[in-house]
Amino acid sequence: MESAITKLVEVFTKYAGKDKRLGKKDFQKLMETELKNFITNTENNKAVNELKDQIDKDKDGKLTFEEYFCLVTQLATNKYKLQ
Amino acid sequence: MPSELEKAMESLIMVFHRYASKDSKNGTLSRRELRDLMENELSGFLKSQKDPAAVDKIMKDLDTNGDGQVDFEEFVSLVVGLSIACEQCYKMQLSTGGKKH
Repeated sequence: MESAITKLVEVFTKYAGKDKRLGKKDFQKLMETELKNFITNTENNKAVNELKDQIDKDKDGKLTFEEYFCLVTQLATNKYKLQ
Repeated sequence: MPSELEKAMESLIMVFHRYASKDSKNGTLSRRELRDLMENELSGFLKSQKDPAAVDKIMKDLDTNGDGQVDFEEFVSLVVGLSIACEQCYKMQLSTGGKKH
């Protein structure tokens, strides 16, 4: 379980820029590469941007670790309910 | 083929499920199941599982609906707290690493 948590942090760090936040392109890349099995339409940039705007609570155009993690936990919860 | 992120998320679900199904209430963690999970899965991240008062406090903090059980949504907030701590730790390592070089 600790390795899973470390992995969630590592994935964020891998895609985030030097400012430790995910910009538009970073987020698109993360979605295409890391979540294409969990989410459909990850190659549709418009849909991905809409999703990003929904998660971006402080509306600064970039995703912090906390905002990214809200998405991860929502996805995990949805997946858990489906099982 | 699931990505590493997807595998990590699945593994969190599996861990929860494994401990939650130890008693008759399969969808939730009792205090005992939570303690077992912390002892076996989080011994590197947490030291407090040996302290019954700390387990009680964590249980109380997680159990937001007050039913004495921790469901998956409530469990996720433990993971969030640990991840944020883990990320801050990672940042600290990077900055102290940067100073050395």
